[in-house]
Amino acid sequence: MNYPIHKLSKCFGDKVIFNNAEFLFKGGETNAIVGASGIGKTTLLRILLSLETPDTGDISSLHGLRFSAVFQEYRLCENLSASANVRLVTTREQGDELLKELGLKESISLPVREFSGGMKQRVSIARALAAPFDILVLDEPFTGLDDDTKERTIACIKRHTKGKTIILVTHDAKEREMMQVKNTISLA
Amino acid sequence: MRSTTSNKPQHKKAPGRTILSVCFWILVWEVAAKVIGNDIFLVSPLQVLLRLFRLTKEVSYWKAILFSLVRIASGFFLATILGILFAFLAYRSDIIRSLLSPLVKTIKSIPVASFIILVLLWVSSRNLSICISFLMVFPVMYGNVLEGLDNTSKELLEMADVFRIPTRKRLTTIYLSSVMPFFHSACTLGLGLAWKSGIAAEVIGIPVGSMGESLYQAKIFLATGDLFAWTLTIVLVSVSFEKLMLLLFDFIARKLECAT
Repeated sequence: MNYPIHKLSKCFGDKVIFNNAEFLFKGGETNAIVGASGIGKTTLLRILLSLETPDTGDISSLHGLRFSAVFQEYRLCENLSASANVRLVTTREQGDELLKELGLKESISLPVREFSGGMKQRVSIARALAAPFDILVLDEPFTGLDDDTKERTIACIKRHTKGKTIILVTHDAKEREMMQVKNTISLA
Repeated sequence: MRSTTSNKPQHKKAPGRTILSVCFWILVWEVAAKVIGNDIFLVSPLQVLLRLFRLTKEVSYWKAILFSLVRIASGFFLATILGILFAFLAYRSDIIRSLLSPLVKTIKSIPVASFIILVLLWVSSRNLSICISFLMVFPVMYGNVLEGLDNTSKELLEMADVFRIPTRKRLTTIYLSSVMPFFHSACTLGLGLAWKSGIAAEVIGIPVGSMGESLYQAKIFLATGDLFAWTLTIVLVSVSFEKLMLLLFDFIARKLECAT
């Protein structure tokens, strides 16, 4: 099943972000959104996640769907442990298992405020994978990860999202290739 | 360009130095008492300790502590519960926030002595310290908790919306960690205020069997030793109560976070 969005318009003051834009996200595939900085990639994701209301447009194909997301800014509870952060959306067993898969076995019970950017990013990915979802939104999810960790993380994401719809925002062509993107939406 | 980091020297906590400072001031007190040579004007620290020791053997001493402690603590807890409750209501509703704003500002600006005299018209002197400590603590608790709620990360709340995190978990993780530092400082400030205002209320209302009454009696009979001994008792009880409460609240907060 695909997810079309019709005649989407969104303005912030005088700045027009989308004007009757049409998008089609392919169900069960990895979709990528590409475009220059400030073009509206994050705004589009925020509309998909119902964090922003479009001025006009038909997004009815998304109604009732469960979303999960990796945000650009981690959005973790800094005083809670990695395990507790993931436990917000799932059980301890499943959450801890995902954290171990992502190479955070030794740090599971440490507060995330003590983590590096790359470690926080992986906790945020573990939380997104642990939550029940129909569509997984990934906004620059591999920022701060070295090549080895990135490879391991992508393998983990693929394992846990077989047959699921992914919407990925990344500037990196290699990341899109590794994530096996089937549908690229270019914002211009 | 100026550095944003403070250039002030960092003072490390040195318990030995604190004890020496306390000893220095006790010595100054002892010397001053010797120089004045009149127990009515200034009693020596040794005499205060002896008087305190004698007082601790009297049942009425412990009853007075219990009397005041129960009432002042009740006022504090009531203010804490209602302060938190109304802060949440004001956070959710602008109407409630607007309604409460002038009331809280008025309570803050009225001198405690005016409140004591006013409340004495409506409440018996036995329960006066409950009302006064409540009135002093409520605006602090309400204001601080509301500020903590207002400072809750919008990004984390959006994250909670996306993941459909239930309200109970939002309260015990996102809101709790945002409110806790503000609540902590409200407790420290509020507990001090509760004791100062509660005892002041008892000194004016003179409820029988209270610490305030004992202070008043000491003043009437020019028993300076008793006055100092009771003051020392009030300081010790209020500091112990404050430490105990802060430990209790931190324990509860940790338990709530762990339960998530």
